This record gives sequence, structure tokens and C-alpha cells, in this order.
Amino acid sequence: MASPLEQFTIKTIAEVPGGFDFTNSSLWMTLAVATATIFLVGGMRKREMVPGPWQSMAESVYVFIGDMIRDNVGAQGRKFFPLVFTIFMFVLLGNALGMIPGSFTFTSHIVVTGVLAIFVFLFVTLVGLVKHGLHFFSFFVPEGAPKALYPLIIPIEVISYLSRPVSLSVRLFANMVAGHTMLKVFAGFVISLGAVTFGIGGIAPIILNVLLIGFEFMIAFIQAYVFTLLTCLYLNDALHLH
Amino acid sequence: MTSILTHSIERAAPAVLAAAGTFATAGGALAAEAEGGGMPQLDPSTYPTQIFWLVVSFTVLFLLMWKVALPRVGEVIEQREQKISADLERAEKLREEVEQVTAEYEKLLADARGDAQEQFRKAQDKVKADQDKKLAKSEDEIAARIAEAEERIEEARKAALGELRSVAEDAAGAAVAKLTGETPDPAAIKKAVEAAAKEA
Repeated sequence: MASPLEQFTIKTIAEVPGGFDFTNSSLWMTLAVATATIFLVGGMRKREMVPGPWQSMAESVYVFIGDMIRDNVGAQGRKFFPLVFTIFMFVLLGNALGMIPGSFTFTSHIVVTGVLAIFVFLFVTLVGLVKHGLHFFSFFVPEGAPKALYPLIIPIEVISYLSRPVSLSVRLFANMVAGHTMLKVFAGFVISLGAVTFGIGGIAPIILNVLLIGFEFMIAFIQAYVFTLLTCLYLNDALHLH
Repeated sequence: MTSILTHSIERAAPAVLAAAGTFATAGGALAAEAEGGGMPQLDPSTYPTQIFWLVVSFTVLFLLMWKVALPRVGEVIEQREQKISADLERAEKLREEVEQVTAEYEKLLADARGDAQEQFRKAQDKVKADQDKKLAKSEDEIAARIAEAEERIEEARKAALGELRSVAEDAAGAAVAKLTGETPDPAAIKKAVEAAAKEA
């Protein structure tokens, strides 16, 4: 029987010179891009005043992210809307498309979530530096703290700032790996327990797996939401400093 | 927000447990199966392709969202909002118009009512004046007739009184003639009757 971790294996589909092979991961990234684009462009093809179901869904995602930025970043966050929206769609579809049996979850790879998180981290830091210049570093000096504690507080603030990309990437990666591994483990129980009990032992793990799949869909959404929300909060910090 | 974060941290714990459980059940077979022993995520040889395709697909998605998809959604939502606000504005304008028309109508109604009252009052005055005039006229007439009747009564009374005197003279003459046996002088009788009438 295959290992529960086998589903995370990168398989080359087409070789590309320079080590940039088109793999199952690349395929599902491409499909995520296509799905997001078709979902939005297809939904808006009629441009109806009174939207149908598809257009309503497309608009509600737009409004959902728009509201998230307005509530957490404010009016200045408006110009980052396309980027934040892209992050949300990319992570959400990475998680959700991974729920299709036999598909590949590219957000279950630490290198993907890591690069995304480092990108968010660098981008946000750059926004802060461009907006505030060197004054940005006052972010690491808490207001109202006694000066005597600065040698203690400033390193803590810097470390907590630098650990942002780590927590951001590991949170998403670990959730995806844990969920998918658990599904596979219980699916394995269906076979192994069923084989020795004429199938009866497989019933309980199947029921559990059905519940877990529902739970995984929720996690897929929540993790995309958390990733995007944290991006917004980091942006807010960079724009407004404290 | 905090609950989601806590939740995701709690979610990470089963990950470790599940992974540990997997290792426990699968035993050493796992290490042999997965090349290099362990998670495929930790194989650095796959990193360049993953990073490359991540950058490509994310950039493409960003450009598609930024330039193609989001403007369409935003445009439609904005158009709808504009239409709604325009409709609301129009409704407000119509409401004002209705209010104005209503005010005009009410003013007209009030004017008409005032006019009617004025005319009614005038008519009433006219009727009253007419009545007063007629009443005065008939009162004059009645007074004239009363005066006439009184005159007639006076005449009748005088006539009756004159007749009564001649009867009294006759009766006095006859009485004197019977008592004295001689016919009295009519002038003396007349004088005596007149004196008696004056006394009465």
C-alpha cells in the first residue's frame, strides 16, 4: 500500500531544460489560474444589473476581499486590492482544487507557501519603507515603553517581525499536509481493517473520512482566508505603523 | 480572528500526530518507499521547478486579475451602485414634485373653499337685507292699515255718538212734554243734552 505521503510527490509531466520541468504541481497551478480567470470573467460575461447565480458568486468574492481590505487596511489599501485578491484566489484554489481526488495540492509544499510568505513579507516591508522611509523602523520601538527596556524590547519586536513569513508559510503548509495525510491514513484504514473483517471494519473509517472531507473543505477556505487576512494586517502595519 | 489563528495552531498539532502515527503504523516501510526517506516536501531537487512555476503562474494570475477580471467586476458593481443612486435621486426629485403638486392642489382647494364661503356669506347678507326691507315695508303697510281702521272706528264712534244725542234730545223732548204738558223749545233741549254729554 502506498504511503499517505505519496500524494505529495512531485511528478514530472513534461521536461523543461534548466530544471524547470512542468510537473503535477505546475499543472495544478495552471489550472488554478485558469479556474480563477474563468470563474470571474465567465461570471461577468453578461454584465447584468441584476446578477444571476454565477455573477453573484464572482461579485461576492470581489466584495469579500474588498471589504476585508477596507476593514483591515483602510482607504490606503485600495491600491493593493488586485494583489491581495490574487493571493486569496491562488491560495484558495490551491487548497480547494487539491480536494479533487487524484489532484495535487501545491499549497502542501513548504517551498510554495514559503516563497509566497517571503514575497508577502518583502512586499509589505518595501511598502513600509517607501511610505515612511527610515521612520519605518520606529515600528520596532513600542510607544510608551520605558527607555531602559529598549535593549530587550527592540530585539523581541525584530524577531517577531522576522518570524512572520515563517508562521505564515508553516501555518498553511502544515494545515494542508495534516489534512490530506489524515484523509489518506483513514482511507488506508478502510482497506486494512476491511480486509480482515469482511468489509465491516471499513465502515467506521469511511464515515469518518466523509466528515473529514467536509472539514477539509472548511480548512481549505479558512486557511486561504487567514493567509489573506494576515497579509492585510501586515499591510496595515506597514502603512500606519502601530 | 484570534480564534481562527488558535484554531489553525491547534490544527497543526494533529498534523504532527498524524505524521507520527503514520510513521508508527507504516514502520520502516515508509522510509524505504519515499525516496530519500520522509516527506517529498523536503526534497530540495524539486524546489527550482516549483518556485519557477509558482512565480510564473502567480504573475500570470495577478496580471489576469489586475487587467482583465477585476476591472469587469468592479465596473459592473460601480454601474449598479451608480444606477441605484441615480434611481434614488430621481425618486427623491419625484417625491419633491409630488409634494409641490400636492401643496398647489391644497392651496387651490383652500382658495376655492374661501371663495365659496365668501359667496355664501354674500348671498346670506343679500337675503337678509331683502328680508329686512320686505319686513319694513309690510310693517309700514300694517301701520297704515291700522291707522285707517282706527280712523274708521273713530268716524263710526262719532256717527254713533251723534245719533245717540238726537235720540237723547227726542227722548228728553218727549219726557219734558209728558211731564209739563207743553212742548219745549228744541234749542233749549239741545243745549241741555250737550251740557249733560259734557258732564258725562
